[in-house]
Amino acid sequence: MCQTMTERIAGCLYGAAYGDSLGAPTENRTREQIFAKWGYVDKLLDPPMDVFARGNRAGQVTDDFSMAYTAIQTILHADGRVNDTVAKEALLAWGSDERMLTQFAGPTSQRFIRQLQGIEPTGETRFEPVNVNRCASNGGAMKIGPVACFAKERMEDALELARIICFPTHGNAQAMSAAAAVAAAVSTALGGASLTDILEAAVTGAAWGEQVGRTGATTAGPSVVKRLRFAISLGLDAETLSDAMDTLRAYFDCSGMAADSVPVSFGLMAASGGQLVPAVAAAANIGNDTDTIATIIGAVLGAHQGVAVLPEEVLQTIDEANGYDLRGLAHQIYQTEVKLESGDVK
Amino acid sequence: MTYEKILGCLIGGAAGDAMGAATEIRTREQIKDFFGSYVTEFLTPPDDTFARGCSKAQITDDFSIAYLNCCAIAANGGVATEEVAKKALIDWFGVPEYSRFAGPTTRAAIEKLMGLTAENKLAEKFEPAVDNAKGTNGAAMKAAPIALFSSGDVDRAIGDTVTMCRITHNNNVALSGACAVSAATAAALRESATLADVIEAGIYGAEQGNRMGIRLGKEICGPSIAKRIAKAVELAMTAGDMDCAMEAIGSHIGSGLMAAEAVPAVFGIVAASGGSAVRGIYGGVNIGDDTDTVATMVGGILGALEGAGGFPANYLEQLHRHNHIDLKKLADEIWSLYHKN
Repeated sequence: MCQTMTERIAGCLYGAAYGDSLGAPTENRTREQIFAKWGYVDKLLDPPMDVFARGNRAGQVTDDFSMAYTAIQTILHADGRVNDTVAKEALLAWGSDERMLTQFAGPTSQRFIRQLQGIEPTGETRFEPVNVNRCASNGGAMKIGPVACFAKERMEDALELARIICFPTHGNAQAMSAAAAVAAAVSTALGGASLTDILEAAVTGAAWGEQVGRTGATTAGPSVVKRLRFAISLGLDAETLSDAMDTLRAYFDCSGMAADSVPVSFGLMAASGGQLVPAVAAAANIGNDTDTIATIIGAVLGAHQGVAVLPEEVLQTIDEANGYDLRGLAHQIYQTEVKLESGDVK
Repeated sequence: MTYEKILGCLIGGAAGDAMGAATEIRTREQIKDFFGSYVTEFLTPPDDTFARGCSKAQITDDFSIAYLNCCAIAANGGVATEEVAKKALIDWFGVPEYSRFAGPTTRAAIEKLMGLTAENKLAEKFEPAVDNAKGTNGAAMKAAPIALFSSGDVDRAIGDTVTMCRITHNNNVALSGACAVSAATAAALRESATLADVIEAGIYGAEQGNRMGIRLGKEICGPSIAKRIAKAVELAMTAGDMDCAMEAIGSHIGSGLMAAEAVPAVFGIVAASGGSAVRGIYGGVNIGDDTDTVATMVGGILGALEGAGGFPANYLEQLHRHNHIDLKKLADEIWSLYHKN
């Protein structure tokens, strides 16, 4: 099937939004607890009141996709310019929704936005340890997939874009490595490459991001590159997608840390043979940070398979539940010539 | 079990904690840059780390909780109960030089235990159905010395560890990590124990701790600590030397706050140590991230295996000089309880 670039971009946007909202109800629970409560979740559901997405309804996205959406809007508003100011404007715009900020923001993003808002003091009295190791999170990786569509199939541009957008909040080896893996995978998928090429691009991107991240804050933590390779090998080795879920969750924490959830995302993609719908469902049922894992898979495999892979009904639900027109947005991204202004990213 | 092994476990646990206090949070590269080389002696912790303000050879939360746990169990005739665990925890929290280190899970549990949590604070704070942040190494860090009351019986050590740790870390992941460490220590206390016995017991303990945690506590998400121990040991065995093992374990497994990182890292280092407690402690102290916790666990396990004779004589002297602890007296008490029972 020959996909146009717009269909692939739309696939990335809808895939990510679908993954985010499919995983929102199951987040935090174990695979067993998810199964006991709902059976195998492969339809959009209202999140229960004991999860982070409490109060959302079926098809509604959380921080994962909404941060990407706001970043895309901000870049469009800036006529395709991507620079440090745009990156920070996007964070502020997202943080202006107080419910989003207090209910959803991860520790890394929340603190940074509070500082941008001038609410949290930059801290002379507070003890600042030499490293803040918990900042090695998946917060850059979760949002960068859809934003990377501005770079189309050009991997180098996608990586640079990931650097500009993610560095302010996630400028460390693990978080940048994970974000770069996703950006590289999305751009490669937009170019119509095979799953093997996409997985290889993710590893290349991760190695690039690790180097870039090292120029920022130092964080102690495992190597995303090495763990990505291991997760992909486990995914390829598994007989079934269900087996892959169990092997991956035995060896990896499917948590908010970059070196855990991002390798798991690519491991599931490898095990799925590149099929978005079963891979995203596997992510929603694997347990822990399900919505982020599903968002990342949805972005990459949506770009790989194109928007036609998702039922029309799902696309409608997503647009209606969030007040989006993601097809229209995909077209705008397609028509925008991105201008990367690296300058001095901080 | 021998007196030498009991004292060795205590010295190893204290020494690992105190030596790692200086390197905690940093990466391996930062440790080498900052200190000029790997750290292999007691140093004053720098001001940008959690143990800032401690003197050299001073212990932090890791071993101080373990020590007071042991004192409380010994005072109860060697029997671990929930009441003993509560008493030890409240005693510990009453010492300012210790309680300043209380991690989030421990602090919350103690405040709840003491009725210090205000009602409105309880109502305001959203608690998700499953709190995966609780799968920390806070139970495992105090687990090795609990095995000293097991007479080398691995299952008894596992049971006692669950009893002592449930009040703060009542979930399958944290308890899996804790039982791995205490089971390994119990196996190490046996007179004929080998390194392979210790690792095998660790994997068994991780599986049992996970099962008991699911049955008795909260089931949370987390990787299989048993599988990751096996992976870490495999990495260590193929690495060749301790330096390569640290690199492989650090990049593939990690050595951070979560039980599923720190505990497998401990077993990787134990496997790479060749059975030398001091070499193992050096590995833990320099692997980066949660170094004091990794080193205290390694020291507890390998100290039990090798015995007090494996440590330089000045370790005990320095630890006694800079802390309000008496490891010899505690070892004596545990040794006499072992003979009585």
